[in-house]
Amino acid sequence: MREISYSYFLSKYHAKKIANKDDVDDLTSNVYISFAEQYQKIATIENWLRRVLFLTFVRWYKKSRAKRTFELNEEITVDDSSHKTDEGFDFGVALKAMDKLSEEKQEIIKLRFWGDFKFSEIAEQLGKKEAAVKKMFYRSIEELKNKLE
Amino acid sequence: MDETEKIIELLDKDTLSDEEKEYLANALSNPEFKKVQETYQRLKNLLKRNGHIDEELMAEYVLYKNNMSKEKVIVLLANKIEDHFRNCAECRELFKELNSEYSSVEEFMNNNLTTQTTGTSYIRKFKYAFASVAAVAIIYLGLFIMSSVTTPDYKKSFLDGNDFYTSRGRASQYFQRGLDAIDNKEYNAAVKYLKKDIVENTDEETLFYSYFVLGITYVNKGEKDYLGLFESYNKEDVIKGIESFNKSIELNTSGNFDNLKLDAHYYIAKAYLLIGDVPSAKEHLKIVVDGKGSYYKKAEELLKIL
Repeated sequence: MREISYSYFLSKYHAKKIANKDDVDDLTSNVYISFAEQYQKIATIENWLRRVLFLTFVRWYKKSRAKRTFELNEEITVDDSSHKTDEGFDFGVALKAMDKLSEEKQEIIKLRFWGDFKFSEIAEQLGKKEAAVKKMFYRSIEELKNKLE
Repeated sequence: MDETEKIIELLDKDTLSDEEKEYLANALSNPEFKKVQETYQRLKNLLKRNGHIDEELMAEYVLYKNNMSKEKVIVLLANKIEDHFRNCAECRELFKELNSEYSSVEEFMNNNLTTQTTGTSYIRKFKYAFASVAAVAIIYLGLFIMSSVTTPDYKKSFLDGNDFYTSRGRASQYFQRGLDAIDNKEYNAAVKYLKKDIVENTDEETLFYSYFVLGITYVNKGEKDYLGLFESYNKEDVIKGIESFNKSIELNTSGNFDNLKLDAHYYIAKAYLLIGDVPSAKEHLKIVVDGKGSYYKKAEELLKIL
């Protein structure tokens, strides 16, 4: 798997979609770490790898885009190794922290921020009480705060 | 509700009263609560993109469109994303870009799996074949093999997944009843409802959705087989399907739904294949590949085997 992931990201580097060769190693390691974390839940390895290669690349793309925007906005150079997009904010660390939340908490956060759903709508979709969804949302923020400290 | 929860509740509100603003300002002078505010803001920055669709959400949508995701969140948000596409050229571009990235993953994986096929996968294939032999009566199996050999893959299934459901772009009563009829495989009823929708709403901008679904319905209606074998299609229905898809393309002129236009070209190509018109099918498949539509990869694969 490491070999396939590495050659996929290397092909992106050769196609000039990834500018830095160190990123090829980092992205390969990310796939490997995801595998180590999720291997018990994987049903079809081929499909899992398709999905993870794609999502890993998109995350990297998102991070790079945010970094470029930040650099343009702030007109300062950001240290390459940290990928920080605002004062002290490490994009990669935040994404990983978010991944560690329970599936249900992630669903609530995503429906709230991605879909602009009201808590009552989220509750209806997830078959829960509105108060319970709100509580879970607040706890997720606290949990993330503790993970990011 | 404790104080931290109260603060998050206020941070999450769109508008605050003067009293709430004052409460929040006071609370945030406490460093611990300030950290809560920073975390909330960072999470929001992480997932929101100034009124546009976040890249990760778009990636999930691309997976969903390629039948690679059935996650609850994306199923719930698919319609919202499609509504957003109607007014946002930037997000439509992002979709095209990420869809093309996904196609490159598919292509890469397919090439690698072909060259690195291991003994394990062969064993797995034999295991499934053996299970089939045990489960199916010998005569039926014989017929099945004959049918499989004589029926090309593209004739075995017209629809690629159920993703035309993401095109529930119209709310009219007849359109929805048409979709329900399709769900129940009542294709004659579906044709009737969709035609009524078309007649009663001639001037509506989104009418091309009805023609698109009508195209799918006609082709499905024309499907014939013998005990699930020897798939064939009624040519008259397939031609009506092609006409409906063409009408859908003709009416889809706003530039906001180009992806559905390319989907229609893909289904026209598949419909032509069902009636053996390979040159016409190729023409439409090339349009899908050039336009990098949702079915870009599948169109490319079909072009390779034709």
